Amino acid sequence: MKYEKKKQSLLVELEGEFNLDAVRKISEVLGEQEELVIDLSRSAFVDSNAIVFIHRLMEKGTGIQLENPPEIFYEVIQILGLHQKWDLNRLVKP
Amino acid sequence: MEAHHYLEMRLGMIEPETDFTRRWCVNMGLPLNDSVRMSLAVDEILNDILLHAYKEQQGYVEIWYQYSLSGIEIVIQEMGEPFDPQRHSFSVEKALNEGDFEGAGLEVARRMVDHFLFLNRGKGGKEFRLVSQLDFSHVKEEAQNEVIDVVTGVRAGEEPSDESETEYRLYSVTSSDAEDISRLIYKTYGYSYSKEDLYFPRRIELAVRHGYKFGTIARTKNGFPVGYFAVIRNSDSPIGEIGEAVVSPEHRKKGLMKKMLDQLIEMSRRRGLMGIYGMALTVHTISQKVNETFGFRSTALMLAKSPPSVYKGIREDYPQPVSLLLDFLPLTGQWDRPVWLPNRYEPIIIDLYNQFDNHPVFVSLPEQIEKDRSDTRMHLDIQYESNTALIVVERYGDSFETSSLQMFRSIAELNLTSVYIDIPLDHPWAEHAVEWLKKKRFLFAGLMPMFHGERDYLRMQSIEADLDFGQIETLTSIAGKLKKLIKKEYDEIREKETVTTGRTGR
Repeated sequence: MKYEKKKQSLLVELEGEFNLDAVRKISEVLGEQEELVIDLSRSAFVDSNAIVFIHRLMEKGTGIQLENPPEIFYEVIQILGLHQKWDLNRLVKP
Repeated sequence: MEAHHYLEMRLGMIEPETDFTRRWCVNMGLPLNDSVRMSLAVDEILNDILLHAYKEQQGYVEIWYQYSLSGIEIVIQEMGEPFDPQRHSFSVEKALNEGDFEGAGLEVARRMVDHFLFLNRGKGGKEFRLVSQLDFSHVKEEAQNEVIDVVTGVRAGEEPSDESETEYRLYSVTSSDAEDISRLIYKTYGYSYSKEDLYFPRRIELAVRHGYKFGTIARTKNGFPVGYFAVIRNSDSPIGEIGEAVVSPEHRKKGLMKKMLDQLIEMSRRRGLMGIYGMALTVHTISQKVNETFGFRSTALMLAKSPPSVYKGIREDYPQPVSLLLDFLPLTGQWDRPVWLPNRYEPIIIDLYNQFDNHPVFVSLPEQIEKDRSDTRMHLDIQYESNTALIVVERYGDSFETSSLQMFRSIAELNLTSVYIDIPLDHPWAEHAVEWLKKKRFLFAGLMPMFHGERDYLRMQSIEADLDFGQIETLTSIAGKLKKLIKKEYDEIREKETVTTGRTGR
């Protein structure tokens, strides 16, 4: 995982899946940053641990942006019912 | 190209494993999207095991990657803390209103695959089974993309086969023959052929390329395909099932089937197979007669093996699951391992063996049968399409009875039509295993020669379906004898159950 801290933002580029391992690595470096941007261009999937992690951060008020999430990401949030709650237009960077 | 992994359960091990899952699935012919779904399902299960079964303490999982003609199955076994997924099911309401995502991982895993199964095997651990079907285009869909006569199977610009043609050339099947084979089946049987895989050229192509099946294709002088005959290899023993045979109607009664079978037997020998077998329908005796003509001999009768809907060509009013006869043809005179014959079935097993020129040495049972003190090893194979399961005992071991009971309990809620269990005859404990299984509602099925790891097995069966034995037709006297014995045992069990308040056993 590559990351860069910029003022109040943490920019993360994942080299593999957005899974529990990635969640823990991001948590270690996140600190008090107010914004988290994750590039998922190289992730084949985003698992439920990652989805719950995003959800909890959003509930805490952390601003999150996802870049290039894989297709399956949308299906997983639908399975977990979060498509009803999340503002995908804000979450996913166009 | 199956795989078996023994994995230390650490977080850092999960991603390499899901990477492998995705690549293996793609390699076995699953489309990339489905391969990603399968790898996500494996990720969710492994995370659940890590966090909840082992609580991030030391533990191991075993993973089997298995291929069949119609799909792939991944089996994950763990020995962590007891767990009942029904008590931890996911609720969208709880997630949205209370932020409680319990069960989310299992819910995602379940939704990523075509079949999801959780089996609690007690002391044998817990088992997750993930199945994804190979969903390729049907031969009819492919035919629509080109100018083709779906009745004759002839492409535009292609010469139809000549009925007067008598010269045939036989070729070993290669993956490039897949489309011709599908078309031949479609042309000959319409939709009534029982092996659905043959309507999917891509499935045939993959199975041939990966070596799961081999066969012979007969062509006329001008290359038109008119016959096909194939053997599907068993995954755990050097034997194979003759399960696919077709001759174009206008080329029948010209000895083509015999020529193809002769070549197939030669090919099987060259590939080191010790025997081949066919599963003959008992709805009628046609396939039994064909097998008998070619030297196959009946050794077992599996009751309620498949729902009638699997066999599209049979009588629509057939009132019960279809029972099958195992017809075996040994290709070797070497029967190295001696066998111990359980007292109860000694006469019939000797009759079954005596049909062949050679058979293994029969050893007398000792007065005191020593139990193998090592671990019991057994393997479960669930046939989703036919709603049956096969348990293969590899080693009786110290805990044969408790391990078997746990296995029966773990599959009880699946409401299977039939459960078969194969017990090895190369250990005298077979005697006690048979007697114990008899008390658990199992009845005789027959002899399974060289069926697992080159060893001879005795198959027993537990049947939930109500069967009318008058609907089971047998041709030969030995098949009739098998049926008579099995019916007697079946009736005894049914009678016992009607005089007691509930069923015993499983």
